[in-house]
Amino acid sequence: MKSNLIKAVKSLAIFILILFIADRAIGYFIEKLYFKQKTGDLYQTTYAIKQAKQKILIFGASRAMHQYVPDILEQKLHKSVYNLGRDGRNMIYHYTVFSQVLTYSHPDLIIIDVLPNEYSWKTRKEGEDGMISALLPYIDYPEVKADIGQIRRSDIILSGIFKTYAYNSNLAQIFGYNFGVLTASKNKKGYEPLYGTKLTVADLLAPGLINMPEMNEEARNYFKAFLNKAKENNIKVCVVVSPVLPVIGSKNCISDMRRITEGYGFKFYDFSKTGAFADNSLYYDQFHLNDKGATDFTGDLADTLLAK
Amino acid sequence: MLFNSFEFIAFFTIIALIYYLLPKSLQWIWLLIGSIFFYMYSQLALIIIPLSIIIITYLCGYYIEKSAVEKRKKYIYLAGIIANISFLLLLKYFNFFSLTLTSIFNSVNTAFFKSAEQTNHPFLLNLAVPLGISYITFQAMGYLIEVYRGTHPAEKNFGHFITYLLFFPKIVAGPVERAHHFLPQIKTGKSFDYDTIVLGLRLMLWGFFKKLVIADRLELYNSSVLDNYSHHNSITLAFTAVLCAIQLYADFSGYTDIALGLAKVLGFDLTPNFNRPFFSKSITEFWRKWHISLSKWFLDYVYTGVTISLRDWGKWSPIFALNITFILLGLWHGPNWTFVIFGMLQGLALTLEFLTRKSRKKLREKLPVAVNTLVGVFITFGYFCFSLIFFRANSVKQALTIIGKIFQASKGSIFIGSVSTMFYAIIGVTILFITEYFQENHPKFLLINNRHRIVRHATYVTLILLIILFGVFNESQFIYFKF
Amino acid sequence: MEKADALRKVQEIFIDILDNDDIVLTYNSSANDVDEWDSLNHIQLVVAIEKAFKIRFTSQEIQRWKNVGEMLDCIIAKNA
Repeated sequence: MKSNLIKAVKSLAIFILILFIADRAIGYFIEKLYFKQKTGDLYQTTYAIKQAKQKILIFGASRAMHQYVPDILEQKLHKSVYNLGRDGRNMIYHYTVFSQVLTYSHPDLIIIDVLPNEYSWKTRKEGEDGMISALLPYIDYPEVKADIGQIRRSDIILSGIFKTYAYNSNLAQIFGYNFGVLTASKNKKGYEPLYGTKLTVADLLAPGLINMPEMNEEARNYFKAFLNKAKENNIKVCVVVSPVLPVIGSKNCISDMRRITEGYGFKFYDFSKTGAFADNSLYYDQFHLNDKGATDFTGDLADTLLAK
Repeated sequence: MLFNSFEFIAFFTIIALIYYLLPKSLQWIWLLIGSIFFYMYSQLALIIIPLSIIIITYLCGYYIEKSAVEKRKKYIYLAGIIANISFLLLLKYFNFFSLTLTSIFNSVNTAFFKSAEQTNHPFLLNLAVPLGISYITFQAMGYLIEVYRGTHPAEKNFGHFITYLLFFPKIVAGPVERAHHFLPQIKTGKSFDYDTIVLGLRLMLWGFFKKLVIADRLELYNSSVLDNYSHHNSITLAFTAVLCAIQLYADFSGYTDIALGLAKVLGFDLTPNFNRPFFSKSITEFWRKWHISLSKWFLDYVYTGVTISLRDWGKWSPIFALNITFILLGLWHGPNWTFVIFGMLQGLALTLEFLTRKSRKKLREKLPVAVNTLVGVFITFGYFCFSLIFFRANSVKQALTIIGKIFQASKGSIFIGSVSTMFYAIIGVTILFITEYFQENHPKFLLINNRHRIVRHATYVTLILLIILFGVFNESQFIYFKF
Repeated sequence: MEKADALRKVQEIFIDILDNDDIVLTYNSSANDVDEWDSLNHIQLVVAIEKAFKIRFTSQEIQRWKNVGEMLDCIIAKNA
């Protein structure tokens, strides 16, 4: 029994030592590569966390990233603009990124792109997972750490134990972008244009793809919290529903979002029913405008902003 | 409480530490307390159901052995079996039978009496299915059969008997443990043995790798295709069917390795459930290597009985018994016609193999071994993937639509979805394949069980880092938990 | 009847039914030792043995055998 225990402790110690060294070594190597990236999804977050000092910032998911052209806004509004949209993230992510931006900058205007079904998109765990996996590499920033800790303490602990944990499921991208296997489409101040169209007839017939089966209070609260934070910091916000193909279902939360936004004294623009964007050739797929559509839409948005 | 959750890791650490500090005579009581806690943590009040099953089975076993009159033995035995089956049917299958009967009744009504307006609505019960009910009742029935046959003595110690059926590493999804294998193990105290514990932890590590890196990653792809199956072309659907088979294997064998590993850390041996099934050269061989504890149960308690009592039917006796057995084995998975068809497809393949076994043997003798193996493995795997379409689909209609689309050979390239998902899945599956290939063909070549400590430690560290870097940490359920 | 004689006779039945001339049975042989002897063929062996020895086993008897020796004991007991 006794010799057994000594053997166990010794072996365990060796094992933990090897594991610790291997994890740190690989972890630091991946970290280096991670922050070396200059394109792609992950870089979009790095930029937002560290250096988004432009006067106008655009927040949102892929429908922000692919549909708002900063160059056009800059031309018309004569202010610096950056698009911080990131694919597949909802308000939980945007809220934390916004808090972090406020630690080093004070923008004049925030544009938030929301989905017609924002409250039921990537709800609960899905949204939280998206936020945590995107922001774990920035755990050293106090705002980020606090927000992740509020959602899931265990991930803070895990990433403390294992240096590699923060890069879970990101290795393919990190290596891909660093060694030229993957090439991101040209990133123009955060805007990633999509060219042409891959819409099919079946896509156009699909009914009600953007629908709202359930209402999620959590998403709604984060939306409010975002606006509240802007209000506290005297930053103007405009909330935008960008154009959608007629695949939108009957249930959505546009009117509720409008009420909330206007309650804070901010502007709310709904482009989802604008006839000018009913043309299929302006869309890349069911959910995103292509470069031509994005250019038209950003122009319209800039004019709207100027008019008011 | 899922095995891949933080609560469980904390729970198990406490259980294992105190377990080895306790005097040997008290260890089983601690396991019993732990098992009851584990059960009630997920389903507080429902524990009353497994407890009732256990009490009834215990009493029946006791009185079967005690009574001297053969007829009485038989009645008690039948009462025990019927009680178990009733629990299972009522809790898991009631709505299925109610729906089926009503729809038969309605169609008869429409066909013969033309009273289409007066359709009857099925009477449905809204019951929660207790955790592991299929596994508990099957182990209980196996025990009763053994006691009745006189091949296993009735258990006298009620506490040991509850621990046998509620033992938390195996309660939710097996293995289906036999009384003669498990009960003696409760009766001996376990002392802390470093090597056994390491063996258990290794099994768990490999199980977690299969679950988190392979199964849960493949699930992301498979569900993204199957949720929109009507939008995908034949090659994509065929590819998904193959990936579903690999996912199911990684998921269930991963679960089983974890269960066996947990038990091993506590000094218990459970029955292995898998023996590299995808290297089987026939469906017959496959079912000796896939979900072994369940297929062995059906073989011993259903198939054998049926063949013996029908043995005057000549070769129709095993054929009939096979098909009945596999339909029941299919239905065991749940109240859905998809599982019945899954079972029928197995029965069909086994029947064909049984009828052609002599001609296939002659053919094999004429061909080189490599060709035999390759063709056999390929056909077996392909057929199993095909039958799994029914297993995975939500309804027969959906399965038939998918199969129809696969064989329509529609044009178009394969759908990849997320490149990185595919990349991680390929890494995981490749490691699994290489490992099993070596286990199958070069059993002396070892990594995780290597006798050099450096190789072993390097393997552990690699597996752990692979899990951390490529695992999917969304605490998803094991597929077999729902059966 | 001698147990050894019975073994020889049973072995011939095995060779015939399982279609393999190399089968050599001992009292300790079980299904694990003979390749073709599986659950599918088992019942055909039982039926052939019943015919050859002109006896009839009960289900319980068949299910209790653990090896060839136990089966032979059962055959001899029935023939006595």
